[in-house]
Amino acid sequence: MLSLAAWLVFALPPQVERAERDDQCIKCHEDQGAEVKGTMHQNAGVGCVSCHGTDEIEKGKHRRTATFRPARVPQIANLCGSCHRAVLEAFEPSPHFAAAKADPSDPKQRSTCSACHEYHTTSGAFAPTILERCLNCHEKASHEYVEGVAAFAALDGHAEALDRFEDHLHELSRAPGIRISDLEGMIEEGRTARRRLRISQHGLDWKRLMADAAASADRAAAAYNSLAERERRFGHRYFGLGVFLGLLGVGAALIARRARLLRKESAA
Amino acid sequence: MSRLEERIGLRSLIGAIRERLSRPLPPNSGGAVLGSMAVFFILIQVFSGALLAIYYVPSWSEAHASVVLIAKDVTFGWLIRSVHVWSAHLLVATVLLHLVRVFARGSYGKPREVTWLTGAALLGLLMGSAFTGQMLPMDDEAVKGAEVGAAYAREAGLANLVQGGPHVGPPMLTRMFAAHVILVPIGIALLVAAHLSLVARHRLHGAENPQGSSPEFLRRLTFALLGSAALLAVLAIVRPAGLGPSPGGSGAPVKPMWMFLPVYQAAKWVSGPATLLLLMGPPAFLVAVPFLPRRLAVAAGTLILAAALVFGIWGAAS
Repeated sequence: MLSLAAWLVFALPPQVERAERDDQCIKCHEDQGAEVKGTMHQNAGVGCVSCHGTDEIEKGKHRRTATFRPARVPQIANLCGSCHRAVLEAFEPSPHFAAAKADPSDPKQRSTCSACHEYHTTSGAFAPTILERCLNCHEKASHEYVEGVAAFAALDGHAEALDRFEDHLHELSRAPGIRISDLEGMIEEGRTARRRLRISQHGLDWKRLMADAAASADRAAAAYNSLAERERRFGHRYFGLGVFLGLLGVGAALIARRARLLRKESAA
Repeated sequence: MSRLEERIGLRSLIGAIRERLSRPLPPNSGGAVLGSMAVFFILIQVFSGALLAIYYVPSWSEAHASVVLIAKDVTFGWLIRSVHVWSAHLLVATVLLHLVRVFARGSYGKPREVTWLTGAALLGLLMGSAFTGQMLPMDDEAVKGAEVGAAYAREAGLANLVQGGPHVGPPMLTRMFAAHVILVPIGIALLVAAHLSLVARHRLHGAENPQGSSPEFLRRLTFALLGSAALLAVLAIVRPAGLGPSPGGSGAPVKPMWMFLPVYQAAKWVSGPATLLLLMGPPAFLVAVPFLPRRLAVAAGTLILAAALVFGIWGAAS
């Protein structure tokens, strides 16, 4: 009897399972599994294990081994930043990053990546959602909030100016008489600026962000205006046509007069 | 001046031309300016075409970009190109009207049979010029048009000659270019010279019974040319020649130029050797006209003209 018990203890495998695949996690963490489902991260092959690491599960409980990462503040910024390097670099000098570092116990993770980005659904953060979340900590009248609103407006204005220019350039791509070849490079320049602003906004340096967005928007607007000016100038061709037709008319009148005189002469 | 005149005889040449142009006109000869208008448009084509050739690149991959450059970047390139395109349409239209008028008046009869034949050959070359020129912009429409043309050439067993290979590709473009800017223009120049000298030799039909005062023709000609220039300017400036998408872009079906529409529409109903008959029938008729009895020629000509109008309008509408 005793030997049988001893055999059971040593021969049966221990009740420990190595959890190293997403489908194992989702068996228990159903809600989180649903949140992650179909996200850009999941589609790109970034799942539970990519952020949370692997662990050993004993009788349905995490053993919290060294390879396990619960992904709490402030490591989350470093974790996201291991892929989104440029974003992390932009974020590091911001007061939010400093605050998150200073208070690692902040349970709501209010000042790090997850303050604006849902960490499981990993949706892109959009201005209205972000601004709503600012108000969780900042007053509506605070300069942080007011400047943030203005900065997002400047970013929107920049995107609008670029789109307007790009659309118009595309419309004119087959219009004869209107030169666009020198402005086509502006499209790539604008897109690069938009990418750069999208990253640098994580520094939360609203004044610089506004100035950068406004400068790039001004360039796009100037390019748009120069397209419009070229269109207007191409319209002047009707003036040239009028002059040409006028000259032809004068010529015709002179010839008709001379013909009349000749006819009169021959009649006389 | 007189020393120069002694050597080149320019003044006497101008005098001779003036003398010819000032001859009293046959009755009802208002339409006699059509031929001169055609020569005017040919000259416009030569000059505008020479200017376009400065920037055009006859390469399969670069042609379209060079045409875009002409139409957008080159100063007044759009105008030169529009004039070239519109003048081509007006030229063929003028020549067709000229043909119908000469046919209706029976002016091709003895001794002007050869004048008629050179004219018919000129019409063929001008339409060939339109076809070969149509491919050069190398936009989507041009390439599809070239494919349609190449399909007709296959029916006629001329696929290799036209395409320069098993299918529409780079060799066809250089062939079209060479034909458009060198071969066909040389033919046109020679035939225009022959046609004009024959007209000068035999004078206008009905010149034996002149009517009207002598400066009449010059006056009409001047007005006709001023009118042609005005029409060309209005068309080219109000409706500049556009740019199509790059080849392989839109899937839209393509129609040939209006002058080919009758054959295009009629060819939908026939295949094989009948297509060849359809393609070669009208030219064969034009060659035969001076040698047919007048009544037969008028009957057949009216029938062909009516069919061409019906099929042309049908083709344009379908």
